[in-house]
Amino acid sequence: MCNHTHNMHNETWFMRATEGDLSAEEMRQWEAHLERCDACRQMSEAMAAVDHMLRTAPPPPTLPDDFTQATMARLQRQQQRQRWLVIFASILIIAIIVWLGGSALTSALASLSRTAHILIVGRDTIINALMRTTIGLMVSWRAFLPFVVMLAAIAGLWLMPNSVLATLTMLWISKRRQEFTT
Amino acid sequence: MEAEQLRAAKKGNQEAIAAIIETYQRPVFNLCYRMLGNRMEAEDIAQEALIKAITKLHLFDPSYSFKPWVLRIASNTCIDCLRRRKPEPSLDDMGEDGAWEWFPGHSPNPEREVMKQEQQSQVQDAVAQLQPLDRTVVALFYWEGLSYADISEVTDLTVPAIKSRLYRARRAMAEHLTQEAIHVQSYTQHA
Repeated sequence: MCNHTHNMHNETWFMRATEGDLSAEEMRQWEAHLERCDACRQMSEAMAAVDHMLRTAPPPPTLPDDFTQATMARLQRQQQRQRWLVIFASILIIAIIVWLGGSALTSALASLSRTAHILIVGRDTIINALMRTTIGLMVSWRAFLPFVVMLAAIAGLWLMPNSVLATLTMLWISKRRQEFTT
Repeated sequence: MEAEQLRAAKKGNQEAIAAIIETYQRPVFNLCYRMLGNRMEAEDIAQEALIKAITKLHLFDPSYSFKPWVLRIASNTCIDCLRRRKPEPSLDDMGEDGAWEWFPGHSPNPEREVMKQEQQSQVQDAVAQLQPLDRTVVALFYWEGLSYADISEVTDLTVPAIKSRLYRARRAMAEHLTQEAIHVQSYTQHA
């Protein structure tokens, strides 16, 4: 390794030398450095050899004559496959929508049906109960009559205004007094 | 003319698509071959890259040049292919490499053909030492003759970064070839 010019042992000098970016004076310094420094000279020669090898490399093999046709055929196959995929995906999406929509519709109809059933059955039940009560009362009115009359009397007395009650009481007392005197 | 072809190809015109493939198949294949080092694989990946370019034409900005765009797709496809490869090379691959193939009767000068194949093999062997992106930069600079600005468009690297990568790639290949020469020398001395 050379000890004369340490600052030349970096890639910037190599890069600038390779790119031809060195001034005349810098080029003279660089060449002087290469004469003194074995490592840099060997690397410079090896890189020049690589550069030459790459520039003079034989061309790649030729393409087959049917390359364009083969590529077109592959493109068409791929496009056809994509078209089928789109069709399949569309059918699948429609089927899912129909299935989910149908299921939701069925569910909604079932719910409506249940509600209607409850309403109809509930109304029937209430009417049925009222009818049964009415018929029951009509059949057994005699048994319940005293009870009903008593309840009505209590309710009448309870709800009667005090003035009416006082008047009735006075009439009852006066009538009893007349009976007693006669 | 090219702009018209691209417009027609975007609309699905088969003749325009064929014309575009015809125009760009060679640079695309060359880049793939230099990056992958295998003719059959390079043909397959070149087809894949061209098909990608055609199917993604709607993403191409016509105010730019088409060649760097299609080469960028080819480079990315090759990098993906290299990443998918198994880390350990198989001995069987050597036979598939275009550099090793021999077609008797195709050349009037078999000796020159052998030398050319060996030279090709040496180049591909040196390029194979590089990272995928460095291979792209080397291939575009040396064999496609692209300017630094065009390479920058293909690779998304700055011009100083491209120069630095080129330098390091040359150095890595120089070190590899020096090592190879030392191995060969020691082998012949022992033999």
